[in-house]
Amino acid sequence: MKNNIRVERAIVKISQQQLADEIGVSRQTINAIELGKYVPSTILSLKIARYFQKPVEEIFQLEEGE
Amino acid sequence: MKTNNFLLPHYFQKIGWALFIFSFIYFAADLYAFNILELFDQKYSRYGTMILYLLLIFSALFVAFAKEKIEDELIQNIRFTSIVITAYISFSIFMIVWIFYAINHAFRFTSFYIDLRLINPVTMFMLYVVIFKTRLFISKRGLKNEE
Repeated sequence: MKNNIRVERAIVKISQQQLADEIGVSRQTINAIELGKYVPSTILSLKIARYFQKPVEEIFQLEEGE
Repeated sequence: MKTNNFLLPHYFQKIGWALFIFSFIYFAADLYAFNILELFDQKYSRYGTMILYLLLIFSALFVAFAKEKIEDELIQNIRFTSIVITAYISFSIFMIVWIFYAINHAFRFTSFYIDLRLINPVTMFMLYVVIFKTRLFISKRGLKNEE
């Protein structure tokens, strides 16, 4: 699964820590999601999408073969 | 914060480490200063050693079962995979120990003997603590590259 969180963060110009504080998780979680090391739960991905005010599919996409 | 996961509050971790260090001091004091380990000994009981064991067990319990500063789903995920890895490793070691036990049982004059008590709840618990803390450290280490 790919995600655009890093790009979206750059657009809004906030750091990982700030995004983590807004959503209520630790900075490790955001970092792990961006690096593709962790697949967030549905609730967390919905919260992230809601924060960037975009639909979930614009931020998280399935890769080929998944 | 979502569901309650039955963990102790975060300050228990610090208490646990303090107890752990204290148990070292306790043990060192016995080696180099007074004879603490035999302090409360009676004819058929050894309370000094028991205190040391209790200190160690409780410090390990507190450190292992206390919440981290921020408890979110990534940490729960790490906890869960740590338990699974602990189970796999414990089962494997236990199988190997059993095989050696069987070999030793069959051929009387070999020295393949490993004590069957090698894998027990206490060692499994310690394995879990080591594995969990290691994975936590690796996860935190990935934070070094800032944006």
